[in-house]
Amino acid sequence: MVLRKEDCWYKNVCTYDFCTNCIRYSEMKYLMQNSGLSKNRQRPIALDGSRDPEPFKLLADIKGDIVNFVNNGESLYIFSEKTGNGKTSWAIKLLLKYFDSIWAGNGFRVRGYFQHVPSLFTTLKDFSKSHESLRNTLMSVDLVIWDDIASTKLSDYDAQQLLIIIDQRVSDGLANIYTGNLTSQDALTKAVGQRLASRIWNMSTLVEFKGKDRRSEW
Amino acid sequence: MVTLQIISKILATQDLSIVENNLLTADYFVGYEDEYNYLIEHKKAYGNVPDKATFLSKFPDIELVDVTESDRYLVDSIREEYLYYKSVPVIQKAAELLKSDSNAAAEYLIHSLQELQPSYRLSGVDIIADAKDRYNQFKERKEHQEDWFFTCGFEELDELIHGIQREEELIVIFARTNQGKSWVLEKMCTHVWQLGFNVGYVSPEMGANSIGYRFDTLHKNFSNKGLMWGKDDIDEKEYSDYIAELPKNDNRFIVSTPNDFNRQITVTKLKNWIQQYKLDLVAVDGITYMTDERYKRGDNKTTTLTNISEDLMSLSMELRVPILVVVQANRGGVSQDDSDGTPELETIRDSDGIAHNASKVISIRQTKDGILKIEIKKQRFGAVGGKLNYQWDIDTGSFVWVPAEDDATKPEKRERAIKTERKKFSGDKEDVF
Repeated sequence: MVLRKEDCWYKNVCTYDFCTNCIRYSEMKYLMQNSGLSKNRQRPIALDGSRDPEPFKLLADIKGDIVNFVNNGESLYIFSEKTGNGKTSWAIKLLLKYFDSIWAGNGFRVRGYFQHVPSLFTTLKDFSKSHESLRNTLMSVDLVIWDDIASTKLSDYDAQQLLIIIDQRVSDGLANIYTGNLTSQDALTKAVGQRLASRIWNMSTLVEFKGKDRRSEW
Repeated sequence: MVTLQIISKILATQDLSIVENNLLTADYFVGYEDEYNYLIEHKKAYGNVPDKATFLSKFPDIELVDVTESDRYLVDSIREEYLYYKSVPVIQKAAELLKSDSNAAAEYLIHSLQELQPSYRLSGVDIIADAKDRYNQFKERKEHQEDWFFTCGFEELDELIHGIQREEELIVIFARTNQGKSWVLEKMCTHVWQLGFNVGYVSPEMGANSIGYRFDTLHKNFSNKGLMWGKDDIDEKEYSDYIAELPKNDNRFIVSTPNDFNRQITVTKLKNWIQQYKLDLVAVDGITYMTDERYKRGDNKTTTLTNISEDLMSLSMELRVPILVVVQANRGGVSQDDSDGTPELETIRDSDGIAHNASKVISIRQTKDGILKIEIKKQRFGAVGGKLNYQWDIDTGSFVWVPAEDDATKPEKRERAIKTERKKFSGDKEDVF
């Protein structure tokens, strides 16, 4: 693999001199490229926790122990009424930290995936190979970010499709991070149905952000 | 008449199997021995039964006949005729002896009758009575591994397949198109050449120089793009010195294209080629380019490829030369989008007979990031399913094993390698993510 040093995530911190055939770079690149993350989201991001110190601390703790979080098949729901206060960024930060922790020995397997939920149903209705491939990925990778879950009310069919995948993941002991704007189980139930809402609300660590929209600052 | 019928049938069907399968020798073809020998020799030399025109130009007086009888009938008849021809002089001599000495006549008859009994038995080895041979071979293998196995150039793969066995070895490398099959094949060949052995490479798609440039890349890491495109990034002096040194090696790396085989690459021609160049390893970059010498009208591609692979394995057994072949997987093999996995055995294009005849089958896949995934799909004397990943720089021909928790190397080796990889970056100045 040709390493473009300027592309390397570790270019500012790495002290290892031999970039040619760098396995960390190629494993990280593989994990990133197959993560569903757009290129600009594959970069490390610094988050300011001054407005939400408690949730930030909790998430920092999870980040520090991300491998166990995933290995234990845990789930996390990061929610807030407001938009733009770091829910998705935090979820991605956890995913990237997971990649950073498991690249050695990964063997070029897809381990984590970012899925913007409102976009999912368009793909799932396309009964092609990419549909099959995406479904397999969502069912099998160690960690999935379900971004913006329940931002729109799901049809019964869509909710059923999502339930099948998440249900399977929970049964298989695979980890999930949900982000969304619904702040109560009732609201979630109305949007995605009782069964799915119950899995998200009752089986996850709940983290609520209360800070205002800071997109312009990031 | 039956001899003429059989010769006519062989020419009409272009198939010698009636003779080969029933052990019919020249003795059976009384009065047609020359014709019989011509058919056999032609097939040996050119890989096929001569056509009627060629045959008639050699034997213009023969009058070929139409034959509709079954092989079974023809074989029974010629055997009966053969017995008759062999019996007549015996009976005549016994009758002569009987006139003067009936005891001597009876003794002669009993002895001769035993010899008259035709032998339709095929040969075999008694693995019980001849068990000692086996033990001796085991000892030989144990004490002189190098006489029995080549390493293949991929150290970790060698651990899984115990290298390339130097006899009774037909290794199939398969993948979808443009995945690096030929590179992997040539990497193995180059390595065996580096060990000091003679290698033969049949290249249906590329000329000798292209294979030569790949060899230079694999052997000494010269930029393949630089060589192929004549770019300045090749140090001409360094390359020139290297080229000047190469002929000092005693062992050869022979590249032949279909033209060198008169456009028909048959197993018989391969045999001659191996013997001519005293080859220790043979690689065929595309089994579908070979011609089936047992082809019968109506045979489909599956039958043809099954026959060829069977003949290649027999050749390997006969000459004690391992043969590596490349086969293409069909489109169903593995999706381009699919990020994991290599093609499955059943996707070998046009023939599962190839996999059946192979001693080892290795499936490969190259990801768009230059990762070569290798999986053992079949091996007669070892475990299947073992996976390996290599980081492959196609331009410099380097393959670096990437240890993975699910690969098939020994756990202690794998864990050590993973730890070493992590350790390389323990000096990171700070946490990035």
